[in-house]
Amino acid sequence: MGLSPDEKREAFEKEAIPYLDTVYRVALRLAGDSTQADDLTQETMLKAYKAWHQYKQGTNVRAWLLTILRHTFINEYRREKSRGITVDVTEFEQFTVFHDVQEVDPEGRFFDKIVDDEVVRAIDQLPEEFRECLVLSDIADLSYAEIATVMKVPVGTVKSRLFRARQALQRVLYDYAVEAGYIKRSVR
Amino acid sequence: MTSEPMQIDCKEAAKRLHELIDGELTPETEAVIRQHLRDCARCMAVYEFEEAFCRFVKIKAKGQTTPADLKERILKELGLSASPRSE
Repeated sequence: MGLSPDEKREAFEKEAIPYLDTVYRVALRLAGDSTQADDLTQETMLKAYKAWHQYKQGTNVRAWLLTILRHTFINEYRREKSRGITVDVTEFEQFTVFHDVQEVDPEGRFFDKIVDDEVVRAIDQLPEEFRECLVLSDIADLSYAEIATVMKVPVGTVKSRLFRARQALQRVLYDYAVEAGYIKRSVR
Repeated sequence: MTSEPMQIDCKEAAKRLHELIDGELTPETEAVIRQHLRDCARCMAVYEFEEAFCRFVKIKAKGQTTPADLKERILKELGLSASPRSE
């Protein structure tokens, strides 16, 4: 039996609206600019409301909202134009930044000196499929299985993209920290 | 028949560190990896560095909240009240 309009509004307000900030943060990192992120967020929430009868009660509403967001982004917002410099995620070996800093700062305290804006700028430099994985994990707090469902890729792909995205991000932020004088570059 | 307890080397532990950080391992595998970390100072140091980095990214990347005017526009469009609970 379907919900009455009042019940639908109440359910959506209680279950979906609390994730508005998560939807907005993911939209920002996918779209890369705030005007598009505003439109993408609004469109996602309106589509989700219209499709609320398709949401399976008891499943992860955050993953459901982000599936709608991603679908909307890919079909209506993504541009093939370059977003500027992207990092080559293939060049990273295992834990290279740790190897660089293990003698001087093995706990990675220099990261704490880096401001939020610099971190999101570095995330934005990741190639899209790696950025998506990182954002769905570290901003939206989805599990590997949920990310796999949202992105329609195997869990193993999520695991490897997430690892490489984090290693690339570490390298970009480490290079930034060296340039900003937060840590001295060590010679390996 | 009793099975031998699973043993891993540094290479295998390294491959699973992010799964450990993300809470993605089964309790059995997690116990094996944690035992390896207790036994291997080098792997423990890498784990602590990676764990601190992941925590740092999660905090720094969640700084933005939905602009008030956008939130108001969405709620109005949906016919909802202006101040629902947020995360």
